[in-house]
Amino acid sequence: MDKFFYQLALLGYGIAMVGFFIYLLRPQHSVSRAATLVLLSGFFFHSIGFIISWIDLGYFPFITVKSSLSFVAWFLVIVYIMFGWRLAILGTFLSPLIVGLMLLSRVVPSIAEPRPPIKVLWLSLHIGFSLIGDALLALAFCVGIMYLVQERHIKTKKLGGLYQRLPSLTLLDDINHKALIWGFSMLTLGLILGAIYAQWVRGHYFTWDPKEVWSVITWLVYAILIHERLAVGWRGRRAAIISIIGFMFLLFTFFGVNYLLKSYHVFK
Amino acid sequence: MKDKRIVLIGVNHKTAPVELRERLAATDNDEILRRLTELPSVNEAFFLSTCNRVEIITTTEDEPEITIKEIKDFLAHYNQVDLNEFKKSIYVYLDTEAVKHLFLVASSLDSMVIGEPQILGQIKDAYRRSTKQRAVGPILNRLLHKAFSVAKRVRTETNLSRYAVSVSYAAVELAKKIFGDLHGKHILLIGAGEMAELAAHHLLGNGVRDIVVANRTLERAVELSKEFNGKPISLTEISDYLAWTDIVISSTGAPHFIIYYDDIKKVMRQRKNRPIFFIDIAVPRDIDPKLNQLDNVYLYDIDDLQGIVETNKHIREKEAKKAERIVEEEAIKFKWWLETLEAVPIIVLLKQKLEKIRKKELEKTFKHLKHLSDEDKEAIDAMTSAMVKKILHDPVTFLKKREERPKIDLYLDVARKLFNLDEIDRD
Repeated sequence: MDKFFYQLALLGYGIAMVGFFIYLLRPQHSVSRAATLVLLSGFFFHSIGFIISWIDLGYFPFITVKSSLSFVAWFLVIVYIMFGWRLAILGTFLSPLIVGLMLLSRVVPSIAEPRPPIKVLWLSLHIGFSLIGDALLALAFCVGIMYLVQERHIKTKKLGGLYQRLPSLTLLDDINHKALIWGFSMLTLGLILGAIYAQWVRGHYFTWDPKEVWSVITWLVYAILIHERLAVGWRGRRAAIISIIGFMFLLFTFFGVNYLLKSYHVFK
Repeated sequence: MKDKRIVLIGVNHKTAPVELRERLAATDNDEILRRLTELPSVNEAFFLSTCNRVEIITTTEDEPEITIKEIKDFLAHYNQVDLNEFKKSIYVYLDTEAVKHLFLVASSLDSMVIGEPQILGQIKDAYRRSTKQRAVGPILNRLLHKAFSVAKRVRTETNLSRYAVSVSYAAVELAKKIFGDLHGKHILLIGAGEMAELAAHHLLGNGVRDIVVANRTLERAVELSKEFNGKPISLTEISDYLAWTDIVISSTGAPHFIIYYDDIKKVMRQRKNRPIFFIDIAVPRDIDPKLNQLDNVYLYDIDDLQGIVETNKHIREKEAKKAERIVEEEAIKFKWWLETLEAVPIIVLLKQKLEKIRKKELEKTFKHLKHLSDEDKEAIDAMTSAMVKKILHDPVTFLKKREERPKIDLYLDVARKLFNLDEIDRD
């Protein structure tokens, strides 16, 4: 039943993505508004799907790889609403990410959902904050790309392509900054909660489990970036690049660990 | 009911050489406007005078030829120019053509540089003057308001004004793409010169408040800084302000660089890498081009800026076609509106006639039916009112309907004849 709504959501996001690409060619307010409305209707169906799954399972449905991908996509729509309200072009860059995550979610083999894990509330908080952090860092990644594209235009003095559509460098850098700060905070919270949970369930705050190790590595990368931003002024181009690199670490932590290394984090 | 005609007479940079335009340009707009309204055949009047054009728009109920002659004679006499001299430079547009011309002008499609943003403000000023003098009436009021909304449509629906038309505008557009909001940004102006000062003015117009002016001679710096409400400094103090400045406009006659790569590289750390934008209008260049390689440093010289203006010209020419289509569309809509104007007096006359009849009959009836209470009288009053309203509803709607456009004059005429409206006093 919930599957049906997830399909609808994917359809909505897909159409919205097409709409946002059309917006590149026809930058009219009506086009971006239509795309946003379709995106929101996809979001609506997606939410219903979550509610149904939640009721079915008894806990929030984002514990498996499949469902967590879906959750990040869902949260990215919220992110778009928060930042993209006056920045429709953000939709052009975020929507492929959203659609991509939903498609991956479909493609990933589904496994039988585990029985409600112990202290499921704490586990949900750990996973929830981590995923929200991931989504925000995904935003930083997107905006980092937008920044580099726009900066390339201005530096090389070739003002065609996306130059007119993209906003100012300062705005992009600001969004990148906010996304980083919030994303990193959520990630930190998620890590701490994860450690607390591990203590309860396995008796240790930290083991050398690959997922935990790579999570900490990723956390360190972002920590360095944020420190340099605030202390030294690594703004603009450098911040954009590190946002992109950090996201690569994030992706590896999320996927690579699951499929390339052995970890108890992986439900088999 | 006489037909109201719109008569537009003007000269512009395409039709008249600058000497003639100078002679016709007004020093006292109000005086000219007053004299225009005093011309016998002129009803409403509007007068626009800029360095590139003079446009006079009037409405008349007489034959347009009469008004045209009156205005031409007036212009010749007032400016003491021989009519034969400028007969060839004047263009005349009537009715819908006049409307279309005004719309084209307001949308900057008739300007020397298509897409330039100043003409709309100039027309608005001229309109304000005309309203103050009560020179405009219902037709020109509507026409000018429509012109403003057409200009707005062109601005929002095409990219005509999005692409900078001059070096100074191009510089400001770039600044906006780098910094976003320009409020609170700091400018350093080095040297002087028309383009540099224009750029500074545009930036101030976009919210910049703090400007520091540097010049080889402190006297000149003081002079310029007064103009911008800024602070004067000498060339040697520039390095003190590099950490503070966001935008540097440089235009000196110096044969060497004023700003060097190493100076800026050092200062970026001090600025915590906040972006800085250099506009180098000077020839030979004031600023080391290597600077552009630094992170968060952006440097554009005069060639770069002119390149942008050239590219923009092509884009604007394409957008101009879209804009012209919008103007055509709106001119036709205005033409329709002009035609409904004729319907309104007829409808008013119709309503007045029926109301007169109603009142008269009520009076007669009430005189005979003395036993009626006030309440009864009110009820009958209301009933007759409602009846008249309902009877009129269909005919009035029909007369106002747009689809009958080509035959409307016929129907209006028939209505006038059917109800014998011509003999009624308007009051």
